[in-house]
Amino acid sequence: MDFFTAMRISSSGLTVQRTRMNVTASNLANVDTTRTPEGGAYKPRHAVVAAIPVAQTFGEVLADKLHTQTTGAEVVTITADEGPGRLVYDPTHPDSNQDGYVEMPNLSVVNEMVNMVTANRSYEANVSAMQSLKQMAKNAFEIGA
Amino acid sequence: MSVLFDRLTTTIERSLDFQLERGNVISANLANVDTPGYTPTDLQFSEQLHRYLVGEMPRGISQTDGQHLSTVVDEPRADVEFDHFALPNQDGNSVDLDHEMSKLSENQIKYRASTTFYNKRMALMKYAITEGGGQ
Repeated sequence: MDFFTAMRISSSGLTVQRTRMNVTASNLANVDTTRTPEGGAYKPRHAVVAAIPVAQTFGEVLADKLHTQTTGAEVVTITADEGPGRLVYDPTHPDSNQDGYVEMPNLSVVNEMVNMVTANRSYEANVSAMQSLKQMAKNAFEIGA
Repeated sequence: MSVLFDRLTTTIERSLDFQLERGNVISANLANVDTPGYTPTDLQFSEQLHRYLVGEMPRGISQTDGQHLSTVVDEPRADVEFDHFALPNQDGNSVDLDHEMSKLSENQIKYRASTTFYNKRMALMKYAITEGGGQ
């Protein structure tokens, strides 16, 4: 256990939140997308986050198994929401079906905004954690000075 | 146990180790603030550390010869405990952001206190070595 472990943990958290932010940005950018390369309306994406051990060396892995359980976080996959899209009546739209309905992406702008704000706050929390540990390292360097 | 680096000095070192490790654990909780099903952990100053501080012998072992290994626990470990009181939210994650942030700053302050204490002790030692600073 050293200061760099804490930095690795916090940076894994930062990466997760940044990825979530990218996913949200992608969803918001495609809120009205009705045409995609795979066909049909845009499918909203969701980042799946999992806890992963941060141990690097054998000793650390062993210590992790025996004793502490410090884990970083990681986006393991990004899934597409396969739910049916919202149907909006717009017969003049080029992507409308024979009944005049257009399939819009199955995403809620409000949900995405909430995700964005929480990702932002979680990012800040991880930055604070890293700064706190940096300050501790600085204090350690001052020993005997 | 030498005069310069006595039990008190070692204790401060242990407390620095402990706070560093606790900082790591809190960082891990914050990194997993959005991980479904994650239960936050915390470290507790352990019984072993207490035993180390009071120099108590573990039960059933006695030191009858100077060459015997020390029966004092010289590597106190902190106990990891799961925070069972936190209520999980919908995805099973029970990290309380405010709680973790306050623990984080508390930990930082304690670390600062320990390093300051260590420095003061060293300054005192220096003072004694230089015979009260009067050369």
